[in-house]
Amino acid sequence: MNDTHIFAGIRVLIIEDEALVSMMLEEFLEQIGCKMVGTASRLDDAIIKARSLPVDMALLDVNLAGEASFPVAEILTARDIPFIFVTGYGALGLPAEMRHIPVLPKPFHMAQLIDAMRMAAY
Amino acid sequence: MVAVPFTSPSPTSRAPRRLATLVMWLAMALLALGLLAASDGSTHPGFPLGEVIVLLALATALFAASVWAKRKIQRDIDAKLYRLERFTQAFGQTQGTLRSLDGRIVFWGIGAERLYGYSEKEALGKNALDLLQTRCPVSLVEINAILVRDGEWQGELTRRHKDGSEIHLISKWSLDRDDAGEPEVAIEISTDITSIKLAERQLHQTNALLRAILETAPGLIYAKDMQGRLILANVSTLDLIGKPWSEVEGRTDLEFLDSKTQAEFVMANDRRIMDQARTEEFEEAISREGRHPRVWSSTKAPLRDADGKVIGLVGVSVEITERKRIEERLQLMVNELNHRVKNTLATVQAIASQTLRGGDPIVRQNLERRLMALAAAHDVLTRENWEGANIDDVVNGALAPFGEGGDYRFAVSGPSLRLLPRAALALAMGLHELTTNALKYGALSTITGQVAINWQIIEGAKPLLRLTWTESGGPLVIAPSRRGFGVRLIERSLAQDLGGKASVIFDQPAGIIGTIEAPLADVAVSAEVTPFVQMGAR
Repeated sequence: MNDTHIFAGIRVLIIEDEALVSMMLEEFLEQIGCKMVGTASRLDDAIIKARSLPVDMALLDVNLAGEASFPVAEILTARDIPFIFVTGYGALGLPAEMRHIPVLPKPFHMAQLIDAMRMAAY
Repeated sequence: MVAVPFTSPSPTSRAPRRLATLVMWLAMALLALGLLAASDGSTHPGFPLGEVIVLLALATALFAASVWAKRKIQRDIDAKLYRLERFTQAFGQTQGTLRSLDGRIVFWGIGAERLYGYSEKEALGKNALDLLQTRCPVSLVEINAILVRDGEWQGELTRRHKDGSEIHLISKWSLDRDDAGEPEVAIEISTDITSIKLAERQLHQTNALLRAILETAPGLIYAKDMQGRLILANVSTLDLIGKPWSEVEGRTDLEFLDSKTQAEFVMANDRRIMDQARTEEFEEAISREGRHPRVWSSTKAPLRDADGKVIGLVGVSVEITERKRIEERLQLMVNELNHRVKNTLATVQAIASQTLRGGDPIVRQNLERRLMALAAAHDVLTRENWEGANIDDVVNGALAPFGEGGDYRFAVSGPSLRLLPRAALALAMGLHELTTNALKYGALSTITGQVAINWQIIEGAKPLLRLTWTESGGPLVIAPSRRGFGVRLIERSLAQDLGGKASVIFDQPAGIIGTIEAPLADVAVSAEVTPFVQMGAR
């Protein structure tokens, strides 16, 4: 992972309702030196954390136990925090105004995660 | 038709005329002689010869005159007889008959014979009602009463031809009275209207059929003129508009539909149909104010007159609101299912990742890649709503992770073909294994190596799909001592899923050759099969 140092030390918030997937994301992020500032698996919890935590980037599952996570996306956008959608739906599952947000399709491998994060950061 | 030659009556003999002329001359001669004798009165006193001769002359002249008169009368009679004969013939031609008031036929012409099939001999003296099985609108007694009262009667009759077929007639009967003024015969002139009657009946049946269709068809049926004015609408159409026929007849959609936007859209469609004189099928939204939006599938065709000129349009619209709703729900469900499957794959990946933590990174990578290949094939199928996938898409999808589209290392060729979901998944996985192997040990492990992927349909009683994977330009291949999972996946799983054969040959010096063969019927979407889910707008 030669080119991953660009993300070393950044603070990441993971919002994902599937614990195992969340754990895998954490593991991937650790490998590239990111700092986990929090995880959330429910919408209400995610909203609080998205509002309050000091975050450089967020990974956001579109579907949180049956609820769409778009309110969280709005908060992150308002706070100017870059984020990516992690989803089993394609980009077509997104509302029109959010189509420009990078999408990490499930399942994914490390290279795809880094690509998506890079797109969100720039 | 029997031609009746129009000849003049045979001329009366010329003999009487010559005789009359001769007698006239004789009378003149006698008169002259008598006058001469009278002037010479002395010859025979007491016997006035001159007077006798004059009298004789007068008698002769009288005789001549009578011959003349007789001849003229004869000529008149001849002419009258001729006219009568001609008239009778002509009357006969008109299918005219005469009958006595009690119904007996007393005159039967050639026209009647042609119409009813009975000869004069067969018809004369018979009862017209019985012979022709006449069915009158009212009884003969009543008709006779009318005849006596008004002198004539007219009406429609049904009779039977000698051959049994039914004849419809419009008949005019007139009463003829004898010299004493007593009713004597009924003169009947009939016109055959059987063909008109049949056409009328057919028209009536057609109308009834049309009405029945109009009123029983579940959809909207309507017709409009060139200006878009309604000229026909069934009950369903009126229900949708919500107005009675009297309020919509001759009006346009703009006038009777609640939504002007919808009306303009509908009328634009109508104009196009009429302008292009072509039948079209499309969706239209027509709904009443304050009601749920309703979607209709309309088929509209130009309406033409007898000369083929477009004079309007006819349309049939079937409501598809419910179908659209179900389609949308189904689409949502497919999306949801896809989402779940992808999530599950991600979870499996996460489990494997955790389980293999600290283990061989190659193993972990292999597993991850296989999961990705499965997910990629899944994507192709999801795009097609799980109805099947184009073989090109499956092949390119499987190769995509290993090289951008149009990669010079891959030569892909084969006819277009739609694969069943199961075959598409199996093929995607098989190609993934072959590619992975080629990257590690085969042609793709070098810069110069290439892979040709070709498929074809082998025609026969049971057509086969044969796909070959041919590596070239790679390093010398060494057949592995033990068949790895990848090869076994191809040879076992693929063969089983496709219901065919699959083999991987480590061919020296050429390279690896993979062959997959399966019955076309087991792997391809049959052209006749309609996909069970037909999604809405694509």
